[in-house]
Amino acid sequence: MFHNTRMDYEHTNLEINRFINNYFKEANKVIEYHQLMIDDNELFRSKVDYYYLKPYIVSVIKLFSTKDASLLKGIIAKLYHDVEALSEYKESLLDKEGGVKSTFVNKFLYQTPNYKEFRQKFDAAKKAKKLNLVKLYKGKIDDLYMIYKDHFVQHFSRESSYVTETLRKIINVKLYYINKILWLHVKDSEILHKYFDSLEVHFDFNLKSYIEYQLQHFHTIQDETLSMEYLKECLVKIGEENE
Amino acid sequence: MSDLFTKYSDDEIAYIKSLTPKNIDTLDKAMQKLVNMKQRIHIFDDINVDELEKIVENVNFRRYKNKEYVIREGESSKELFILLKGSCQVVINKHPIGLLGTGQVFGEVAAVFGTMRNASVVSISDNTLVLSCTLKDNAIVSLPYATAILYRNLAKQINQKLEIQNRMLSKTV
Repeated sequence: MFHNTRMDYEHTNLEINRFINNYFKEANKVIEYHQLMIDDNELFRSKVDYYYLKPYIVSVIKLFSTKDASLLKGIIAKLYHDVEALSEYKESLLDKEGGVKSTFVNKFLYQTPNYKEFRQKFDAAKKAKKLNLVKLYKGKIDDLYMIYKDHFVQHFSRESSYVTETLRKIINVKLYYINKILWLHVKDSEILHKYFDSLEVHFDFNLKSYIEYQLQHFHTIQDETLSMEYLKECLVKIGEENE
Repeated sequence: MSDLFTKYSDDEIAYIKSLTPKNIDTLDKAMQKLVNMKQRIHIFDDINVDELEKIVENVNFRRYKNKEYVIREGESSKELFILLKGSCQVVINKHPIGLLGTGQVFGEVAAVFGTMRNASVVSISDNTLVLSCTLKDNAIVSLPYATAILYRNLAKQINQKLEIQNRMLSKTV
């Protein structure tokens, strides 16, 4: 089956890399596009986990935009759309894989010429009840499985982690900018000032202060998806912001 | 898919960038790229970003035309490379033995052990882009733990290659 071990190893390596590159081609295009826009800046290493804060930030935007329709327009609307679209895309990637082993057997192995041939011969032998041939081709299938498996699983898992983690970082950076623009808008919005005055709501116009206010008046929160534990955790996380 | 490629005007991008905090350290572009790709580079597993910044240096983008050599067999250069764009061919003793595609790392053995290059790597596309870096000579003194992890990771990688080749050898016709 293998004639030149070094060349066959490199060929195997190449087949695996080609498959993985192709599999994640679309995802890498998405990442490249958004990284260019963010310019690969240091915020990729932001200490604040805005991704964790996302449900809260989205909840605040939804509430404020019902009072001031001009909030969800322009840049913030585009960033908001990006965050939702990229989050959905990231989740869909996790579903798509169907598990590394399933992808390895059903998508990778089946497209390698030897495996497909041996599999067909194995199935035919099984049907014809030719036990010697069944044993022979089962052995060949198992050999190919063992040769490719570890290498494939390691590379695939690594690339998959890279893609999902980078998407998470991109979303994190965009949420940072959304948060910034949100509170700049709030400071300038007379409609929102009137809204806060009408409720006698007093807080500094930033996320941390608003979370503190909401924790003190938790019973007034209309969004049932926000638990007190979650808000407390948000407060801990936003406290690491170095601004 | 078009939903994922929102268009921003130059003014919008400039405004967004103006909101970046002023007090954060900005790494240069090449180093930032290396940091972002760290997960793809096996020998940097379990080494955190701060440690990585202290053990690598001379991080650069390099472009190669078709048929230009990135590495020459027998030379004693010490760079580690990551192929960002394009394709390269691996050649030993004038025989092509494999191809490298986007995201692949090469040259790591010589980068860590300081050995001579055991293969040439030639660009086979017109606009091949690689990220290169070297490991600091005093890394083992300043960061012995991180350097030990680096050696461990490289040993794992070499062992894996040997395992696969041994399996293939046992199936040689």
